[in-house]
Amino acid sequence: MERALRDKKAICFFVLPALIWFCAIALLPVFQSAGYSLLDWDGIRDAKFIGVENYIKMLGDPLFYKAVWNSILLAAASVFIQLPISMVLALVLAGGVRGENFYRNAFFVPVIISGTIIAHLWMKIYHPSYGLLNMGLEALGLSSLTREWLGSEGTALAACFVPMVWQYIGYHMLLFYSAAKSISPEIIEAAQVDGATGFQTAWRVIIPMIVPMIKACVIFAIIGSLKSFDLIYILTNGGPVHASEVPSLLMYKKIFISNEYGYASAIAIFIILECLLFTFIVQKIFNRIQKE
Amino acid sequence: MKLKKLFSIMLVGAMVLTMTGCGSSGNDAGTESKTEESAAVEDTAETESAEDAGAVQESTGTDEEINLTFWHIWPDADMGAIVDSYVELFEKEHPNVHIESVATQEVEYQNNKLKVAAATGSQGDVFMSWGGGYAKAYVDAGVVLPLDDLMDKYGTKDELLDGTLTYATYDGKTYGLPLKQWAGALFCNEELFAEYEVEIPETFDELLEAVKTFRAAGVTPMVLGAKDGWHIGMIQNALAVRTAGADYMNLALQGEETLDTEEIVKSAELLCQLNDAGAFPDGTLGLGSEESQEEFYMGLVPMYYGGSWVSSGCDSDENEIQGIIKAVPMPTVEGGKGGINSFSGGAIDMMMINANTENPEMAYEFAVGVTKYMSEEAYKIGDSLPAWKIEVDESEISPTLRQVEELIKNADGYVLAWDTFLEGAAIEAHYELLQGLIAGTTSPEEFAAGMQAAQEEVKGNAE
Repeated sequence: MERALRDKKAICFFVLPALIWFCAIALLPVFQSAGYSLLDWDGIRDAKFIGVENYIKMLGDPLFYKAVWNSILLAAASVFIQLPISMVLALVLAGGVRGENFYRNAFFVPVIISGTIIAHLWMKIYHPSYGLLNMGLEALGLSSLTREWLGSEGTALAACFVPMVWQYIGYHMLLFYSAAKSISPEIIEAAQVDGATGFQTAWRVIIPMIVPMIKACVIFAIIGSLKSFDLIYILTNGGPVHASEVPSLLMYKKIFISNEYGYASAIAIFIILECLLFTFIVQKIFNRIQKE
Repeated sequence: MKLKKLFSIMLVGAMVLTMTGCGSSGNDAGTESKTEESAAVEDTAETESAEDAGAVQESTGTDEEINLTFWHIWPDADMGAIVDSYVELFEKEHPNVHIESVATQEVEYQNNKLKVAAATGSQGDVFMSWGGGYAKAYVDAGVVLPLDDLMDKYGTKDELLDGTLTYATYDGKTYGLPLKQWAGALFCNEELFAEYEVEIPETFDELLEAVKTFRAAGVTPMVLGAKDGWHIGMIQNALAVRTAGADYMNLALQGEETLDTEEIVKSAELLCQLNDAGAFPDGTLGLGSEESQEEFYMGLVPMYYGGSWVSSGCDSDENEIQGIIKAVPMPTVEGGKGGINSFSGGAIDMMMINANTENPEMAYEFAVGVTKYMSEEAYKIGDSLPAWKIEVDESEISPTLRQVEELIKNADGYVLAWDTFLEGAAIEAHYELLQGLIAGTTSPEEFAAGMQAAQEEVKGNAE
């Protein structure tokens, strides 16, 4: 087997089917979209080649900047709120608490629930007249804090972020948890023998050892945020008045409501480039951290 | 070692096989099951053909197997059962025909499924569609079959009510068979009106007063789920019929008159007045139409301006407002050009036939049959008004729909919902501007000017 793996031809042979598959369903559509993005096309009637006009239109559209800014805010919320919470939970669980398995599973439940269901769940929580949140606030005598959470421009975006951040806490927690668990117990025992407190062990021993996993999680979190669609689509559909617009939602509306296939393809290409750019930046930052 | 190599080659082979299997399974599975089913149909065909042969041969001339796909938008129980029962009936009458129904939820179908399929002309042989601006791109692209020859041959036009083909006609040719007509009305919960001692409004000023009274009493006066732009449009479009008149609106929406007139500004202004008076639910911009109308059906909200389809909910056993709903026309506006007899509505829901179908005659026969049948059944359950000349026992009809029918007896003009009339980007602009009005970020003047600009852009691109 080992010899077979050293054989370049064998490697090619094994990789080829998956590669072809990947190209056909992942790479090819990207290039097709790039082609479409140069057309003035409604998806049905004849297309007209217009060069980079769609991109010029995109860069001149204030709505586009708003959507991109919202998605970057979401990415920031994911990295600076979601991941730290996941990390704390993971470290506490990995440190060994009673009912470790139960908590691990409980935190993971939102990840396996479909996004649509989560969105509907939170829609009910946010409902202005009989929602759990407003009723809870009133019960506590805080009626002045009740809001039309999804219906007012000031709160809609934040109200969308909460379930989005909440949903994937368990996912990142599990990744951190398994990474922390894979550290050999001798190292942790050695730290404890040297008199390190629980916090010091976590901060100086465990976290530095799971940096590669942290990197992966940061990339997942950022890319997931930049591509986010389902929850916002159901919760607010980008409204009110575009307060919670994100690029993939904008793309969807341009294709399926406005019939602007070319313009939507240009947005798609932008999302791909944006994701690649952020991945590249995160890689660079972590390479530097890992060197230190 | 050799064995291992052999094994790995087998593994790879198996993988490739499963993959190619995947690649075409989508189609294969479909045709396979179809042929199996049609084989079954054939069996029954042989036994029944003796009695039915006459009728079938008359229409098709042959006894060959015919498979038709039928795309519709009623996956739900009520309407779905009606469609299925007709398909069954048709297959019984035509033993050599097998019909495969594909049901998709309406919004997904309208926005995604049909658009994607129509781009390659691969939609169902008979497919649900909408006339006006929606199907224009399909007609231009040549994926819809013109029906005039077939209509003349079967004398179909005589069976249809007047004016129902208006929005199925493009450049003088007919492309669709109307399924139903709708008309807008203000549905009022008489019990709540009595409880709060409010008169059912006949003029806009009275409506505004009613809104204020209900709001002061802590009752949400009107249904509105402003997250769905079309739901706001229902109200504003109806107000525009009152301010600008039906004739003008029809011309303006076709692009022959402008949309940035004083009257249309006024219609948006009236909507804003209602909004400012607290007519709509708190947080309406975060509510969808279905969520919002639920409170009306529960008897908590006194007024709902909507299409005739609201009737079916009013008379449904599931809801608590049976027998206490009064349907009245949209209140009149002082100085408006549209009187009490002009309405929002028309016939826009159509059955169309794929230009690529192999059996246009049979598809047509089915399409006529199903539209006529559904027209009647939908009428009975209070979903919509018929588009065909049909005779229905009055006692079978939903009582609330009967009221709507009474209202439109003397109708002198109809205007479709703008979003079915307009095309592409203008629809999105319409929704955005309407939401802007409710959010207070768009002024009525900006609304009218924005609609005109969007209309010009779309029309300009099309030419």
